Amino acid sequence: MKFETDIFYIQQIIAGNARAYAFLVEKHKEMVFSIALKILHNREDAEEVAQDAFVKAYQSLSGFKNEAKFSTWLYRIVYNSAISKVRKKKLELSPLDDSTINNYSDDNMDSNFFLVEEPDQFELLQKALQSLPEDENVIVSLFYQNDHSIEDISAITGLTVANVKVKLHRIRKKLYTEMQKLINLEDSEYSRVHFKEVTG
Amino acid sequence: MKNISYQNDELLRKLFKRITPESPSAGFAERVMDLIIQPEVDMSAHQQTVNKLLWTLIAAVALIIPVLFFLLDWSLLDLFPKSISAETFNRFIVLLSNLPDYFSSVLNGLKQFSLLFIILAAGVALIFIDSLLNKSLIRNIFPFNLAGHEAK
Repeated sequence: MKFETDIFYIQQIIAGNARAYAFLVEKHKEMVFSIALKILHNREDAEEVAQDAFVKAYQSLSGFKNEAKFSTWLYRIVYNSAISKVRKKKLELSPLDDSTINNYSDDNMDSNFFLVEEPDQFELLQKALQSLPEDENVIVSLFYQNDHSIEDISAITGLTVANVKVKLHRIRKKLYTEMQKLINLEDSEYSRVHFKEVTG
Repeated sequence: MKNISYQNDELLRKLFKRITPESPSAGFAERVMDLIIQPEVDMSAHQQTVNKLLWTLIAAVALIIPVLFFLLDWSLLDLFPKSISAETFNRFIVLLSNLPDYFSSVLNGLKQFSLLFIILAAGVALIFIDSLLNKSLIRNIFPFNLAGHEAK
């Protein structure tokens, strides 16, 4: 389905054609739902939050300023709603130990990670992403998966640009650390099985 | 060192691109639109109720005015002064003191048309009860809309 620009639909809605909002919902539903799901880890909750975010955005559409991108504004609504819901439910995951992250350098990756086959790299990444706190999962996905700029991420999350940069750096490190841990784990598992096979 | 970081970054980007975006369940957009359009339909129903009430009041007033027109003793109006003098002022005072008697005569006249007023009052009450039922009772009996979502 080919969509017009967001502002085209917004002007139609403001002019009284409420049904034009269906196009905006259709256009952004995947992204809005993905953000909610990354934070909430539950499809039902994520749908509820995504639905509420669309309704909230519609109700506040008259106050929407064209200076901001509609998508950024919408993602911010869903991000905040999902984070509030997580805080209410106290589902926060335990983050990685800070000292482990600080002692880790990106350079450590080249030795092992590049030797792993691509399907395995993908699997490692998905496992590592699960170890991230909800907000960090969203930030890194917005940056790498959806190609959002640092400025956009700053607008969505409410963090400063500098803070987003620092966070991204730390998240990258966390991911590498986690992936490295997984590789080492798999290596030791392989050695254990191989040793058993050899020794009978 | 920068090259390695860049390489890592590119690898991460490449791997992230392989993640398929999550989709909400089928009919998500329709459900959102239901939530958005529903309050507007409710508002227009509410507006219709208000309009109905307004028209009922206008009809009631239109009915009452001719009834009062025939029942009132319009010769009383002759008592009102055309220019203020001591004599007319005295007559005005007399008129005021006799007002209760005039009202009781009007009430006696209304009694002759009591059936008409009972019908009128019953009609207005019926419309009032109907609008109340529309607003509250139906929503309580059917808290879910057809899409299966809890009414908010």
